Amino acid sequence: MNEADLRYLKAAAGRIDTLLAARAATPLLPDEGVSPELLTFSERFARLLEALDALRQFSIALANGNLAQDPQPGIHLLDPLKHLQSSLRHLTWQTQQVAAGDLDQQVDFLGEFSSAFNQMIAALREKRAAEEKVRYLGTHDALTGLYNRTYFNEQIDQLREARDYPVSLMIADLDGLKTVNDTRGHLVGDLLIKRAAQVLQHGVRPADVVARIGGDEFVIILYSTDQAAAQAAITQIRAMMDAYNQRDREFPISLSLGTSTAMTHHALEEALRRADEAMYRDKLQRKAQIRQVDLRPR
Amino acid sequence: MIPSFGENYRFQWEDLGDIELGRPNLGPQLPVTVYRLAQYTLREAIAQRYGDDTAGDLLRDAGWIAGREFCLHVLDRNQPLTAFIAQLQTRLRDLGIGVLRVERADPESLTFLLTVSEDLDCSGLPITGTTVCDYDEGFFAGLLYAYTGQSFSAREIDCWTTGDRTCRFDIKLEQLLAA
Repeated sequence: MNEADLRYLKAAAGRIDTLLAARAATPLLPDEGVSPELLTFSERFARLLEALDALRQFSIALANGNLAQDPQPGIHLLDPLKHLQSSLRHLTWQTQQVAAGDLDQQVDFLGEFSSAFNQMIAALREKRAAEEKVRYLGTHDALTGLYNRTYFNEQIDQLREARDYPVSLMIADLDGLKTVNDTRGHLVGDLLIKRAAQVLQHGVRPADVVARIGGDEFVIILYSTDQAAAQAAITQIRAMMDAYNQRDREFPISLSLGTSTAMTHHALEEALRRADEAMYRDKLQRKAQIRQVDLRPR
Repeated sequence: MIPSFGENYRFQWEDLGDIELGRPNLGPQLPVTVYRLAQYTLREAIAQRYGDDTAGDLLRDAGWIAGREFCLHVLDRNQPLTAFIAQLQTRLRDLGIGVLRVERADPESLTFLLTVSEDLDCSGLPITGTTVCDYDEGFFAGLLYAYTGQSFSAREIDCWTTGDRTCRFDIKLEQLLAA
């Protein structure tokens, strides 16, 4: 071993100490005159230093949460960390999707972290379902599944800002509900309310809003509907009601109906009042017809 | 990439046959070795006659057909991108093709950085220094073509054969490359 060899080995030992102290080691090239055996070793040692330096830089970047730094290609010492970086990048993407509302994300192949993440997603799904249920209950009638008064009022408020007129409002009242409740019980009364809800729902377009706003009272918002089309909707509902009553003669329903049309948002309150009046006129008229039938000589 | 023949190829999904009927005892699965035996001997035969580059190109074209047909018959193309990717991940895992992960996905520019671990084609292959998943490149390009109607370039940048432990694909709209 000559002098150059000894100098090189001393410098190499220094580089190793530096690396073991977790500091950056500068490249090491042998002086002229090193023996051929050591020259071969020094080439490999230089590659090792380069790889360890890349490893150090990459692991520092990862430890600092810097996922954007791409590792130096061709250094396989980095592979496990590269794999970790890939998983963290994917997790970042998945978390972004979760933040955007996608609760179908699932983490696999990351051991305990996978189960923890997946438990978190399951909890978020449950929370979302509970919130949706609360939201549903806040805007829907529990008995019929129709919208409730709160939702109806919200829609009327929105219509005050809208420009898409005419809008027709229809009031429907289930005839004789109190008598049915008193004589046949509330279960039958509830059944008739549900039937009435179905008839009204099927008698209008899916986009129209059908709401139950009282025990036996319903209101329907018929969007972009003039008076003639609203009258046609009443005819349609009556036809549906007749069909229902034909099928179930034991629990027939009778609905009093009235509509009115608002040509601008200023006329909404007035239209609601006039629809209510029209419904009462219909109710009185139908009662009178029933009395006439009853008074007819048999 | 879109192969020169575009959508005008003769292969149809039905050409895969009724496997349930045909293999009542052996079933639809087979070892990865058998799949690789078919792919790498086919590659070798093509390379022997036409050269390595042509073999790679032909496998890429075949992968493009496979990706397009896979999307048309196995995936729901009417989903938004995120749901589409999630379904792709599930299908690739369930079919044992690989574990797909998204490192980056830009829905605006349609650029993706995807990784496939335990890749059917290459995981465990010896290091040769060059990427080998030409078929996968075509597969991703064909799949995204079927989903978006646009031409994609898919380039493998890491592979088992380059010494990496996961395949990484850089995927871009072809127009972006031209720009």
